[in-house]
Amino acid sequence: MRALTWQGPNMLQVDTVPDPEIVNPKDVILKVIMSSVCGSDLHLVDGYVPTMHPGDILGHEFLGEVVETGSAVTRFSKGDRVIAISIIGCGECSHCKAKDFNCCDNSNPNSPETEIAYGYTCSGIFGYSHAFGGYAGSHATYIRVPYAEVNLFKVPEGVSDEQAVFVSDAVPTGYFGADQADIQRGDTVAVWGCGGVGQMAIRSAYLMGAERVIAIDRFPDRLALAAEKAGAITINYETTDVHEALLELTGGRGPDRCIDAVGMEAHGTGIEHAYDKVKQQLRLHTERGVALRQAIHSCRKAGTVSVLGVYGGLMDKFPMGAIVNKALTLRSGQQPGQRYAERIFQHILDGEMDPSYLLTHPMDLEQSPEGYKLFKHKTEQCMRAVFKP
Amino acid sequence: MTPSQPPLLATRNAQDRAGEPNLHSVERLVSGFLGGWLVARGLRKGGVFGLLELAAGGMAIARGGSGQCNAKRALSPTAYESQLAEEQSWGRARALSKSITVNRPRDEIYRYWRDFSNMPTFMEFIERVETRDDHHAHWVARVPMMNTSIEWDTYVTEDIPGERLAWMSEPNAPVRNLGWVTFRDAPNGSGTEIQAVVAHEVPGGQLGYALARGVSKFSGFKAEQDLRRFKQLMETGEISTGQMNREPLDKHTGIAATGEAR
Repeated sequence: MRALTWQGPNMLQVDTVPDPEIVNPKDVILKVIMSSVCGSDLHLVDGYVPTMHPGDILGHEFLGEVVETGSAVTRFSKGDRVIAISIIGCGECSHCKAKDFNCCDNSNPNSPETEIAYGYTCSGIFGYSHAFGGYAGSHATYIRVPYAEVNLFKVPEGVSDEQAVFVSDAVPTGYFGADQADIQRGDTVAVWGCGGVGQMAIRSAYLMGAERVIAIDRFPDRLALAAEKAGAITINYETTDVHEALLELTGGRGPDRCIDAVGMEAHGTGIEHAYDKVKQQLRLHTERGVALRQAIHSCRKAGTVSVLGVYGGLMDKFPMGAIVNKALTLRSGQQPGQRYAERIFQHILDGEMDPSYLLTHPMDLEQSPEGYKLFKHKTEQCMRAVFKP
Repeated sequence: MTPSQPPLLATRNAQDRAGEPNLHSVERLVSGFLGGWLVARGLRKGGVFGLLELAAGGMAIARGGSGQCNAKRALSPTAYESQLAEEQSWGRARALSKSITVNRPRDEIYRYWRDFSNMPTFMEFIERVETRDDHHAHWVARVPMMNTSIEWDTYVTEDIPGERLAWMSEPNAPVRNLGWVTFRDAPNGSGTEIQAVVAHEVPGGQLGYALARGVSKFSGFKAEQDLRRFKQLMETGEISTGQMNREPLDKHTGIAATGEAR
């Protein structure tokens, strides 16, 4: 089959590789219909996440058709149109039983790396380095999905391919971020980052009862989409002082809930960004924390900061004092999409949400390296490049 | 800590010994003299290197004066190891303890573990275990990085069904070793807490112990992974793998991903 492989930092190529097979009884093999880029892939592409090996296949947000099922799979059969949740759950460990699929004990076969870095082994993720299980990603003709009955969801009639593909990751991530932010009716929610996940977080915040959502980014096209498609009030941090603007919009109280949909490669302005960037390049810290620091700084007292952006290691100048003295609640995590997939499909069917506008660049799998370039540099107003094998 | 709590295997030093000198008088004298010599040399020499010698000398004098050496303490047997060595009349002991919670009933876990021939299914370096009878087993283990294997026999020393299982090596073992596993109900019916401990005699005094401690960093990770595979197998019926293909077997472990016994 054909697959997009990582060969080194910023070196991607499409190769011919062996087809995947059923390895375990609960596996399913999918023929990939669509596979999307994700902001978190950029950390891998750029080489900020260790344990990537040349030849690793990228991609974790995908829609496919079942072509083969393992001996223990009964709920799916050949021809089913399904999405897979990016973060793999086993369905049996105590975390999965508690619906915390993002904390699965069993889905990551490579335990030492995350155990050394984080104290415990974290769950496996498709196409997301060997520390997260070494699973082959979805930018390929076929993909092997383990624990299929836990991680696959049939796409209902009436939900298009272009809508469904994002229920794999971008939508449940945004939805989870809003859910964790503990939004109360009438709350003002501020969302840092208007990429795919940020857009979905804005929409989800409204669905969960927010009165106003304020979106922060620097790309006019993304801010325009946040306003137009998701109904946000927008702030461009390159032209506006974010904290002052938030105070102005909230009568000086500040946003009740803050969502970081940016992560470890945050951009900012001025000396703070330059300092973070230099330290990151020198490997003195792994995270550029401009967005998260700002979210913590601007969050109202006793508010909630929900972190969706991906962070990998250690952050310098973490404003712990603001968290303690303002009595903030900090929530975070990879998305447990298994918890939300059916609810999200219902929102789509009810016309309350339509993620298909994220798909700005449909491309052939053969053009995927160019797709990543467009996505990384956000040229041609690229929100999401989605590959068809 | 309540007085009735048994000592944790993670306790590095016996509590009453912390804070007291852990160097012998000869060691303290040598440390003091060496420190004095380094200080004199550093003062004479000056410059950056002189300053470094001065600092090193100062630390050596402090070490000799206080009789405290953290490096030596860090490389001393743990409280449990000292106790074990004494009980077993071993020179020194190295012990490794790992704990995991498996979301399955205690009896089921115990029964699977009680049959030693199941061990190779999830233990990376155990090639096979032949059970001679209910209490005697023959173990064959692969030695990592050397194309060879070692064999030894064990007998069961304690068997409280569903609670505790212990075994000990027979005299034919290349190094004397023992192991025990305890099974406890996890809170709120969330399965079974397992603590698995293996220990072996360490020849070669302090140096041998330091070496064994280094090696056990590696074996500790392996033991952890063994337990995680055991958990995967008991909870999900299969062993997780990121591999795309059935063959070859996992290149790191040689373990079949399907979880079927070899």
